[in-house]
Amino acid sequence: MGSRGWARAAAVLRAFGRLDRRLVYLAALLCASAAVLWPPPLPVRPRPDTLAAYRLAQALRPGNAVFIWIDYGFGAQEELDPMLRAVLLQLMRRDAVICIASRSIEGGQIAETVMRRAAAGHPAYLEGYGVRWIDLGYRPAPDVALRAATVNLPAAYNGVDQAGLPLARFPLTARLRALTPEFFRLAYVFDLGDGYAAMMTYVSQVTGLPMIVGAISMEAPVIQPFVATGQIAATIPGIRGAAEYETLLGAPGPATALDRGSALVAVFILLLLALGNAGAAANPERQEG
Amino acid sequence: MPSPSAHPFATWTAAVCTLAVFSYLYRDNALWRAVEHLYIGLSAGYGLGYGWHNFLEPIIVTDMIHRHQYGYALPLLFGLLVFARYVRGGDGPARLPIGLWVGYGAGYALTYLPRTLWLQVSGSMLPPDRLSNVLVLATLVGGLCYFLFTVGQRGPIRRMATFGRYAIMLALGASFGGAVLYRYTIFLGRMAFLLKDWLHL
Repeated sequence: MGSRGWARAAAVLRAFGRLDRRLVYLAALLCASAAVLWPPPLPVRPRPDTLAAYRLAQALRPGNAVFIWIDYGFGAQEELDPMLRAVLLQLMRRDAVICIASRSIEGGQIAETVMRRAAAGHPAYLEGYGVRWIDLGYRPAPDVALRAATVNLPAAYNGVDQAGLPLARFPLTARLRALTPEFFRLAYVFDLGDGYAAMMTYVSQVTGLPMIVGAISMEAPVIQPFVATGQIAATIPGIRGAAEYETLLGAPGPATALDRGSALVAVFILLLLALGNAGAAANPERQEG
Repeated sequence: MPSPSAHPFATWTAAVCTLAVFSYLYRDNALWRAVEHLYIGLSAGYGLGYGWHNFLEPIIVTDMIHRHQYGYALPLLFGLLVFARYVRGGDGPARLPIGLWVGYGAGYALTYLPRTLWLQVSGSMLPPDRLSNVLVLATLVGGLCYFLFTVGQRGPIRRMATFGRYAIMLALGASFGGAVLYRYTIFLGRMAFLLKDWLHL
């Protein structure tokens, strides 16, 4: 490229550096729309983390009980709802007994909604509340509630479920007396708490019951050391992990669509990073300002 | 996650609120502020209703009034002391329930966290027989050196601290990248709602 070409390229980069941020937002909007409407048909290959989580649940026998602790609210639904849905689908296929509790106030409501949607093709679960699954809802001081649950699960939740119905009327309650390996085979924590608080609470309070953490992509690397030490049995990392889970189940769904869209978005972000830095470098007066 | 069974009114309300929030990206406007206030009001109202129905009503109405379990009055009154700060000379009593809560937190942390974190510390002491283990050890020592302020940063400590700083920057960069993609996933979810559930494209 000649000197005129370089000068033109520098001028373009300078123009990009001075670009109205609203145009960048518009480009982001168009990119997201394209990602949603025409997600690239990229293959999803399960990684060891997700595979380990999947295999643990595959080892369940019909009637084995699983505890699911929800620690996210409406803000994290886009990423964790598809993950929860995929896990529930697998548990229902394994004919597991599912006990859901929540560490966040909205968690009980979220869990119930996702469970009822996931159970659409499983009439035994759709009509089997209190027999195949139960939602204990939220209790204040969740650390204390979890500690108490290791001694007496119904009492830890004041003897009522998410809707305030007495647990004594559900046949399931007699089987799930305490959060211990005697009554449960596996536990899940869907974590978006302040500094992965739910995972930390579970690790410090419940012993002997293997736990799988469903984490948002941002938290997944921080949780990894706990997998290395064996404090966590496995982890499902972010929307990518949820998509891998759907692939393993042979049921591509919302997570796969979001993950494929994210790939397009990742390219867009890389492009913005490159152009933004080049634009800033070509505008020394903006750097100083 | 899209909600195909949602009532059309709920879908329209959610779509209008989403667009109103997005409109702030163009510029501050009345619609955005209205939705912002609506959201804060709804959150406060939801919290108040939830608090009453789940915590206060079961204890005050069910347990104390109907079941005559008056023992709950003691912690209730103790908790109400936090409002004593609004009375002249009430700062001291107001600190009591907060002190109890802070004391509980500290006691909890001292009881349960060391056991949990000790496994992390011992798990970091890996034999340097693989490149990944060497990297973990080097990053651990480098990170510690970087935050070592009681001795001068000279010689090997300075070099390790520099390595630690770059390792921390790398980790923070990866974490920030994850945060950006996580936010974009949320944005994608909203766009999926607008384009598919609302506009049926």
